[in-house]
Amino acid sequence: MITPITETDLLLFYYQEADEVTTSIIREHLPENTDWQYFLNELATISSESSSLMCSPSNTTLSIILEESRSQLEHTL
Amino acid sequence: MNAPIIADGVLIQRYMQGNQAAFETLLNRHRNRIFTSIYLLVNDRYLAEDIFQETFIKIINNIQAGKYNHEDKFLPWAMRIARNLSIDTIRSRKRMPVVVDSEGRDVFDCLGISVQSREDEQINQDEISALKHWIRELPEEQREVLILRNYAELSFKEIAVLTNTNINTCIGRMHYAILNLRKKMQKNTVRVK
Repeated sequence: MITPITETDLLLFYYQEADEVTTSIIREHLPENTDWQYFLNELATISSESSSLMCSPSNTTLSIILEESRSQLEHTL
Repeated sequence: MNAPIIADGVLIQRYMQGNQAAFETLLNRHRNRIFTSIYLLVNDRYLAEDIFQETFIKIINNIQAGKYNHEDKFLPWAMRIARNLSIDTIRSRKRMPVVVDSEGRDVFDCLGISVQSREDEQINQDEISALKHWIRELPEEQREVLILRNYAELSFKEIAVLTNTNINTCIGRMHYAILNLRKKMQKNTVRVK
């Protein structure tokens, strides 16, 4: 009997945090299970869209931090 | 051929020994993940810049004071500092008194310089993203796990330690966050982004 796989298991599988047994069950049955494929595709879409929101701090902020790190180094050495 | 990636712990040791370039590598490696996480937690770009700066200054001070525990991973440690500063900032903003005019309106709304209007202006300047708004609309605990997992790239175990909960609670919150986002995505005909 196959252990029932929940959406939580699929979530952990997607983020590569599922245990070995769950991972191997999902890998084995994924090609024939359209519900799982659908859920994982949705997760992939959300992750991919999420990455479009990635942003950087301003150059001014980075310069201040680097200046502080240099100054701390001079004090320490 | 790509140069091998130097571990965070090694970069920190080199910085402690006087190598400034090692610190720059560390900053460049993690800046976007940490900054985006702060930005999405506090919902204000200007505040995010301040918190990010404060986070790294604390990191520098702690490293130079020998307070960095080399058994810890750098990113969860840095995110703990960033999260604590973000929470303190959100709390202090909530405590800020609202000054109202004779008709009960926030006077800063009239002047157009309230924190919210500054944020609105920033949103207009950014490419408006439906997903960003949906993430903001998530319940706080779900939003936090989603941000820490997708942007800071912490594992559920690391998030559980950071948020002082257990791993199953974190996974459950993430699951609900995904379900909520799916619902919003399905309900809206607007393409995300």
